[in-house]
Amino acid sequence: MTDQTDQPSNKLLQDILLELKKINTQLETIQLELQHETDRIEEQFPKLDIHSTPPSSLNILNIQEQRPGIFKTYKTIQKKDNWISATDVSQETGRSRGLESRYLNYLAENGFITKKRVRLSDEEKATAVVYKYIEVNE
Amino acid sequence: MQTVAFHSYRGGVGKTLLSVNTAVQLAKFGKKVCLVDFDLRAPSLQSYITSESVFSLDQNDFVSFTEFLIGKGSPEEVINPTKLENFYVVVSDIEILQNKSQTRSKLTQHGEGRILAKLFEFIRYCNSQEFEFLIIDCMPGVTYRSLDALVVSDKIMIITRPVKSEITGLGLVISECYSKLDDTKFYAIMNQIETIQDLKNQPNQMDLKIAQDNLKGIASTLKNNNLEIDILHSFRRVPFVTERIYVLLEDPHPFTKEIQEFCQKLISL
Repeated sequence: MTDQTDQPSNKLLQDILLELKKINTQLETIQLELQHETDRIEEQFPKLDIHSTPPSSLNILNIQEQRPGIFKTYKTIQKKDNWISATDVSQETGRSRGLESRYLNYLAENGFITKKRVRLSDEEKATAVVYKYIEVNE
Repeated sequence: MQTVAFHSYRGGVGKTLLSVNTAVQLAKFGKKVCLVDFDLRAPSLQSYITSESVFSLDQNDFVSFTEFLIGKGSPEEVINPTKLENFYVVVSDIEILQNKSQTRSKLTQHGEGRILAKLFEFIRYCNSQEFEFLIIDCMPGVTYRSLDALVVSDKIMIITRPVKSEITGLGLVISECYSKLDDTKFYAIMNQIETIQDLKNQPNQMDLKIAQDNLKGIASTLKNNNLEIDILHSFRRVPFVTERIYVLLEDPHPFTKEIQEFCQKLISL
């Protein structure tokens, strides 16, 4: 008796699960599209507003005092023309990817560099986080 | 590319003479070199290079580095090729020192961080042009501009003469400035050193003792801190050395010989 009553419930639950998975896939697609659009806008207008001020040498020295070793990460990003990942930075500095990732995120949070998420290819959903120096408006 | 800054606590210690001669000699050794006059308060590179006909540079035909820093010129516009193969120069503007200077006023308005950002932009451009050495003649002491130059450099040549005030200053810049620059290599360059032979010719025993004490003072100042600062070279005091590019015009010459030795060390670092 129990089995008989459970059968429709299970079917219903499976249907709900299936629908939820579909919704999840659609949400992921929307999220990626939104991220893609945000990145496109950021790329179009990456420069700082004329009234904002990029970090000075003293700011850099202060942050180095708070996070000893972060200066090396900062300099590596500043000397690269393109967006680069934490893995690229770690290959340059010879330090672990995890450490560079922490330093990069700290620098990005404090306005020393910019950060964005990019799709690895048009077909794949996988994304990567990349970083770049802050450009200055003339 | 190696970015090498020539810095000192005080002005007038021979930074420009050493940096100009080093840059030219590196170019003569076949290295692609860009020499930047970043002593914005007292730029003097222009007088060195325009007086040498071999460079064939017109004194009135420069876009100054200060123009680039305020966003009025591109890196390619401020880098001047010369007739000497591999040698490029970037000059700063004397106008910045004049009364009611527009450049100075714009430079101030641009904010401290913007100058540093422009310096990094310049370095990225030089990297793309495959320069092997970027030599920066810094402003002395600890100012925003000298800090900018130190922050962007890979190697810093600290020029010190065996004079008590400079030794005290050396201790100060090490503790207050250099020690905060992680991932930068520091090398001490002693300038205008008297040899034992020179000292023996001094009739005044007090002067002799002070000179010897000062040499020891530099060594102990370099030793008594957390940084590793080796003495890369000691330039002997050569009488009558003036503001000239000796490596270009005077060979053999004792100063030329010393610069050649120094450059060999710099290349091998």
